[in-house]
Amino acid sequence: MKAASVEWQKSEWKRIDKPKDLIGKIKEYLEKAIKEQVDIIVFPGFTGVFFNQLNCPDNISLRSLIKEADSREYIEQVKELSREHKIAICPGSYWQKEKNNIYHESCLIINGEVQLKQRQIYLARWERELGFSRGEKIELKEIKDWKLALIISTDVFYPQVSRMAALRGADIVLCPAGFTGEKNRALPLSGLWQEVQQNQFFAIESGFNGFLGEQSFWGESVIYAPLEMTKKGDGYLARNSGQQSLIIAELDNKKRRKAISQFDVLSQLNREFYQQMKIFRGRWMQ
Amino acid sequence: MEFLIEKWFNRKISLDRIEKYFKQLQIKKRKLSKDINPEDIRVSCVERQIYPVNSLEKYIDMLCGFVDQAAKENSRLIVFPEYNFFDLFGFIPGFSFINQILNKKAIKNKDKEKDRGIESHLKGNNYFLTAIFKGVAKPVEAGVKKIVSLLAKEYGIHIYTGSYILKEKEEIYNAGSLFGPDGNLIGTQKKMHLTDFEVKLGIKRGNKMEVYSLPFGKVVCPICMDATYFETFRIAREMGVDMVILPIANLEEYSTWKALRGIWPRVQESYLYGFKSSLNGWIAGMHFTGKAGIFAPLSMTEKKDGVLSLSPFYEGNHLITANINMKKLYEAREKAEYHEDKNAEFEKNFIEKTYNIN
Repeated sequence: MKAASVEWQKSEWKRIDKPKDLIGKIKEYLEKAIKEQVDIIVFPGFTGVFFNQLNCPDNISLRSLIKEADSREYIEQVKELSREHKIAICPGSYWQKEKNNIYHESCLIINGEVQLKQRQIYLARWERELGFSRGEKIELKEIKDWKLALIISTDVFYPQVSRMAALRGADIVLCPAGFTGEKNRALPLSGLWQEVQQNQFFAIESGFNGFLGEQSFWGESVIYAPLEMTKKGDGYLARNSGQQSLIIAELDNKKRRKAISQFDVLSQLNREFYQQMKIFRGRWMQ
Repeated sequence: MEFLIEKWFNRKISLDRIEKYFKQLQIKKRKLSKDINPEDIRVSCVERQIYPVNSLEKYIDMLCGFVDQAAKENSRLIVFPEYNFFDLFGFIPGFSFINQILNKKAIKNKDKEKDRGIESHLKGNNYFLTAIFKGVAKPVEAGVKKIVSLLAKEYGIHIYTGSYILKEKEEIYNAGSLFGPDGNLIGTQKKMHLTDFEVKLGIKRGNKMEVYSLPFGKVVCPICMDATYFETFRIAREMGVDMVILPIANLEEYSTWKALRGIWPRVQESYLYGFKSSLNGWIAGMHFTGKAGIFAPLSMTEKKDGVLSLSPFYEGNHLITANINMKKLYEAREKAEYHEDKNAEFEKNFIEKTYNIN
């Protein structure tokens, strides 16, 4: 399985000022990926929100963007692209309204169909302040003998999400992401990098480096694997070194299994001990 | 063989001899202020090299040296590493000679083994090592506890013993104890996640974690691999813990990336302080490496890297010390941007849904 992650610098996001330009750019990257025989591609977190922002240029705050949140047009356009491009696409993340709730969501599109949907399960402080709702479950999709899960942005800091995906057999985690605040390389290390190490799946992270309203976001685009199977023993199969905006790596499940046999984390889970975890029995308020 | 080893070690590690030696040492009793300010607590972690000894006094001197230094730095707590008793294997007759041969052979074969993925010959010799571990367990436990108890009392400091082999009803565990500044035992914690090597040795795992209330906060004392699992730290937070003591002894060549799989990410996701002590060096053909470190959530550290103090090298003897501040920790939890959220619906029946436990 060949995987790709997209990373556009702030200057590139700034140059996009119409929704059709964004769709054009996505198309350009799908074509690049297909040329490289990529099977699955992940676009940055918040790409769908950025699309909405381009549709309503007068909205300059996150709060006003939320009011207009509607991902349908964006998803329809990516579905259309997906019919012409034979590649599995995670279109990044977007905000989705349902009744009176608003969710941070992502999906996987193949052949013009949404095959897997995932809502962010935990919220960042700024998302709580803006009144977002939480997803309640994690689902996996099997594609060509590979089990895929989507873990969205903030959820990389909640290890229970990754653990549940791993124990349900996830081979690959797709992660559109984007963080507020000052750029700090230690943050992704404490997020998806370490989730990969404690669960030993592959992960494809795609970071958003643009603005939503006046809020600046940053993120890295990286393809992770267990340490034991990476060339430098650092857990990175491929990452953006500032030179390229499409990061590509071959995911070899045989190599991953060999790496797991050298350091098999999940084989030593202590289920008896974990019964001490009251929080996960819905008793954390007691 | 186990019986003979136990008898021999009982002779070598005499509690009377320990007491007598402490009297000779004439340690100046330390007067630390009884008013503890939880906003300004100093803690120290030991990184030390294995040094097989032929007398108990040399072992006491070594431990005492670290405690003395920590006391001079006004630390309230000092943490010794996992397998803190390996030096006492020096009591085994002929050990020094065998040790030298095994270490030389292992160093020579190191690269070959790395390339071919071969385990150290001793790692495979389970019966022999299990017998040694079982034989030394009782006398070493008694000796280490006695020494640490006296050091804690003399210096008026909390001391975590580092880990030793605990024998209970013919089963052996990797465990460590915490002593208070009055010299009394606060508690003993067994390791709950084992390495493959420990499983092969027949070491059993603990299934329960206990929390200890110190005058400056609540602490738990899991061991090494326990920090590879987020569950350990999640349970700690539920128990109201602010600090985690984590002794390690990594049987592998050092890599920053491998080291990053342990306590550092756990501290970040759990928002508490982490104190890591480490054992290093060669013994019986096995090579241990690792840095001592004191960690805090990213936002609480000067360089925003989650490190309050880190040993400069992964081998040798180092004592690292840092100040911790409970008020700042609670404030950081309140302000955390990407942590501390709860999702009751997702968490409901998480254990059953995730671990297949009914």
